[in-house]
Amino acid sequence: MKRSSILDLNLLRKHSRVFALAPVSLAVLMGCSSGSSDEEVKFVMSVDDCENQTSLGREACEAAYEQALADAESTAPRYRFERDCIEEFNYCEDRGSYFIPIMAGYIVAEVIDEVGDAIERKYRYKHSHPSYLYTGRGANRNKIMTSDGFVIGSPGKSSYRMSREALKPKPKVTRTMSRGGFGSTASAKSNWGSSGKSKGWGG
Amino acid sequence: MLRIPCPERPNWQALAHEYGFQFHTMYGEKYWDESAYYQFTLEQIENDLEAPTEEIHAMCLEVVDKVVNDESLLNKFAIPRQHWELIRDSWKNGDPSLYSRLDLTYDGKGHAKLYENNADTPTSVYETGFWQWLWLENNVDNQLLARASDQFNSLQEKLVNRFIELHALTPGRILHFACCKDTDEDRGTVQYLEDCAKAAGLDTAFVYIEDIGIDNKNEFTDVDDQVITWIFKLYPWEFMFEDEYSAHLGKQNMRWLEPPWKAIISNKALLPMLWRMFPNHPNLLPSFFEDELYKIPEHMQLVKKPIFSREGANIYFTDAQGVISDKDVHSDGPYGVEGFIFQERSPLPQFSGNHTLIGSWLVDNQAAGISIREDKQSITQDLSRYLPHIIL
Repeated sequence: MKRSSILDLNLLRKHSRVFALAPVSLAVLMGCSSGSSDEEVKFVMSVDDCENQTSLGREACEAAYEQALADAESTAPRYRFERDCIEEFNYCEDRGSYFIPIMAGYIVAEVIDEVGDAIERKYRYKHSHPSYLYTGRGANRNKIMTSDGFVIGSPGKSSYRMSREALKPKPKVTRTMSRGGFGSTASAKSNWGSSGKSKGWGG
Repeated sequence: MLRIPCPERPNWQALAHEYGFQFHTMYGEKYWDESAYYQFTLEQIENDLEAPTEEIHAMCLEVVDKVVNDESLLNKFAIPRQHWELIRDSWKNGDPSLYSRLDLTYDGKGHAKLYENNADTPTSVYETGFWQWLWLENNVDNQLLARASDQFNSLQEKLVNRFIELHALTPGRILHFACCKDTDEDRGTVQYLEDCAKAAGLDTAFVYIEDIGIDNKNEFTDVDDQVITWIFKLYPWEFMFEDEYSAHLGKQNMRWLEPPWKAIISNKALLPMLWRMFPNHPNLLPSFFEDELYKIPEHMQLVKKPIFSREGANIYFTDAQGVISDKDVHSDGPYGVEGFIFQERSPLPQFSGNHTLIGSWLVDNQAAGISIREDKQSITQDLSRYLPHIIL
């Protein structure tokens, strides 16, 4: 067969259907539809720890570490005063105009790439997030926490469950200085002639 | 290759509404046209279209490799000097690509010939990957088409699989999708690709090109002040290079779809470069730079195309000396100051009075299906009608 074997019609449906035509038989979900909204993750404290605790190789563990470290720069909680940071996380770093907690480790979710047969099983990391040990007061004391305050659990377990929602990449927020610096070439081109019959800028 | 008239599905417009296909009719004229379809044999598809498509793409990549390392060629491709490094780096880093569409002329016999390569911002991907696929399924179910009917169209399946690979290569980033305002077609195209990315498990967001902002660290932002770290833009590189924010390009840790090196092969200068590197290749038309007119055989009829032309704009027919031969037959448009190339005139085949162009799709480097456009005029433009096809 030279065409896609099955397509997810639900995925592309933009309006509820107003009549019934045949393609009911095609309405099969593809992609990540495993039902459960949780994923298993591991908390590791170093690249070595990652190698020991997960099925990931050295290279993948290092990449996951680098990823978490880079994410921490933009997503870690920021404190104006060092004492506030220390009160909640004990170990903190100065970033010039603010302080952030030092990463206690990172959480990784791994996945097996299906590359044909079982012999060629390849593990890669699907998520990697910086994690911190919360040392402030209250119920969350000595629990592992992500950048946005999601509590994973107490350290020492072989794995943890986390909701998919909490595992999503954290948006990096900034302050926009100006807008509108792209698009002027297209609008200049669209002003030629009088027909105005151009559909778009793709081709 | 046959053109076969057939009845339309009585409910297709309601179906189009259901699936959000907004631009099937534009400016009061039919764009999606299912009053006929094209029929191919499997041999025509596999030998004449699928295999040559992958071969042409491989040749295009050789052109990229040559051009990025040659300043005089980068000038010939009209690429501004300040962006050479961005393009070169994206090529050397192996920045992955998503998709392309080759425009081919083919009449069912002999060799398909490359007209041009829409490697940067191809559209009609929704009509191809999903809508014509649904047309086939419906009409097989309605017993209007033989049960053995197939289609050369694994586009959506391949796109979703490609997004899974891209996700693995680019973990932990949100993929923004962007197009210009005020165009239903581009918005629909980008929405479709975003749907495919979501099916692959990616986290996505949308921003209009005109709404992109910048912060004081050269990071591009969306309307929610989120930093854009990975973006699919349905907006040509050569436009970006001219825009005000071009000065900020390459100064942030950002991944682009399509990657900057696609600026080399979505460029019409690709055509004379291919002819120079692979002369007399059966799937290429003789093509020449403006300073190569002396090489052109005396009686060869030519087409003159601007280096950055889109959707068939500013195309002229000329004789072998580059003199415009028929002032009445050309297409208007805002392109040409960047220079032109010449390509041997190879008229599109006609079926029932229609000029027929084949778009052959690639996802990364794999041939993934075809789309068919028809026009009453000899130069197909962006309002040409789209017709489905089958293999039988």
